[in-house]
Amino acid sequence: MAFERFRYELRIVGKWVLLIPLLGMGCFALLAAILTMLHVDHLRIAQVLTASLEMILPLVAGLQVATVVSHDAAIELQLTLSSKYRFTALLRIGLIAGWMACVALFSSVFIYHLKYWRIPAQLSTWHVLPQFLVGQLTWIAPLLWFVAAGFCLALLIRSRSASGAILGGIWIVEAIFYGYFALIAWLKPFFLFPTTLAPGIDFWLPNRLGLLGIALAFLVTGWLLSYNATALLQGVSGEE
Amino acid sequence: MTTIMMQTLNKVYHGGVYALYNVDLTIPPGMFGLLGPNGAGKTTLMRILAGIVRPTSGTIRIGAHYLSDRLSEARTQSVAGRNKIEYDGDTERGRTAVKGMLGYLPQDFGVYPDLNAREFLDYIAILKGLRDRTLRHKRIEALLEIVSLTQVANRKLKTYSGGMKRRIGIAQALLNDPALLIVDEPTAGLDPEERIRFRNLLSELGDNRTVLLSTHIVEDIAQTCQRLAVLKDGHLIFQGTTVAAMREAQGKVWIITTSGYKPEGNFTVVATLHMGTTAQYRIVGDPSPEAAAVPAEPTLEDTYVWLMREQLTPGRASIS
Repeated sequence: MAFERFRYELRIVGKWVLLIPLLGMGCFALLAAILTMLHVDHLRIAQVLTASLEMILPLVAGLQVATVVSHDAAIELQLTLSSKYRFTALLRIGLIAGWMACVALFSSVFIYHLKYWRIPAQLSTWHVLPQFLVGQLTWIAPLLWFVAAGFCLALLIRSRSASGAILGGIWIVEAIFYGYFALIAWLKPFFLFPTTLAPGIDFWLPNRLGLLGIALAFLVTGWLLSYNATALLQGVSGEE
Repeated sequence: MTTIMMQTLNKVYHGGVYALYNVDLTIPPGMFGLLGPNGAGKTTLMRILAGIVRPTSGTIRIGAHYLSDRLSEARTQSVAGRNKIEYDGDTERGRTAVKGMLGYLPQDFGVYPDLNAREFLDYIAILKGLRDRTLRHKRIEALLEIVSLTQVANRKLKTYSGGMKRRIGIAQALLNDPALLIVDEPTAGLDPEERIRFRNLLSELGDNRTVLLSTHIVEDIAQTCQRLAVLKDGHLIFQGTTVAAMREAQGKVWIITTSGYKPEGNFTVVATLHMGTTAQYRIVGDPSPEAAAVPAEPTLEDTYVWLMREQLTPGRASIS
């Protein structure tokens, strides 16, 4: 039954959830190949490929989660079933995050092997295996952060476009004003893309762990928000 | 068969608006109609009964005495050991308990467009806790047959008409062979043929379970229910049999024939029939003595109009 349930949830979230990360990584691989042929600086190519894992995939995951959570065609029916909707929502989020993680892990193996991985200064002296494994926090931390933020925002505002706009806005602010996040003490725990934008920082590891903590706080908040059935029914027609 | 009892049930939304105000209502087994205009609080009441929304205050008791001989095996699995459920709307446990014996068709029945009917029913059956695959599939095929959708069961739901989606809605509601079936505005937007078909289906289902039919279409209640309740602005203004309801309007329904002009008075015109040089008006209320009004037997629709006219609630109550 678990497998059938899983299969149906996959059908409900849609094929695009599976295809977009694959297509995205395919495009970045192609771009990297073109840049290599054009003899672009190795560091720039590494930055592009690291960005695909650290900046692009997490944002896509956040947007997908916000879309899936903020709209369920059969939400009112779901809320009357013995199986609780909040678990269904978590399963769908897990599906998205899990698939993103598979794509990111698979891609990171190739990127690391081809020596296009931007290694944070804090890990540069480590041995290969721990360096590779801890280096996965490059994408794990922002991925979980965006997924949890998307979950929380979708339940809070009940609008996929508004939630998406907020996530997109955060991404742009982080990408443009990254210097402030690298220098101002209280902004450091919120620096989402240090591996791509400032790998030389000396707080890379605490930053990654801090982001995971924030993601956990978002998840707990989202979980509590998912108890509010009246809010979940917003947008479903019905009288007062 | 299940009886539902509600006592001093209140639901207050943000801003102090009462959606339900001190509702005392008993719903016996069989078909029961819940009538009221848009915004009367019907959907809120349905959602409270379905365990989706919590009441602000008041008690709800849903007593279920199942007849084991008509239970499917799938149902037996899901409700084994429960022959009486008291649903306390204030507790998560109570809401969870009622969900096991409930079939619910919401007013805004959304489906997953990329699933076909069989897949959709299978998915909902899984969520309802029907674990045995063979039994589940048997039940789905039987229900598809009941709602006459077997021939199109492999078509994606996005290709279904409104009436077909409603029928799938009823099929999913019956998956766990519920003792309590709640249907909210099931015939809204259906063509007359589909409406009649749907009404007949509901009537059949009401033979061996409690079916709560909420609608603002009086005809649907008149054709299917022996008992009903009428809500207005969150207040329960009538509960009883349809015959008792019609007695309320006895002596208040009149037919006035004029040479074309519209009669005036303290009444509501419920029907107008133009017949060449004359016009016949069916009215509910008190016509003036000079109007030469002829008394008529009230229908349920006349009664509804009478109740809406006479039971003046003080607007939607609110607290601040």
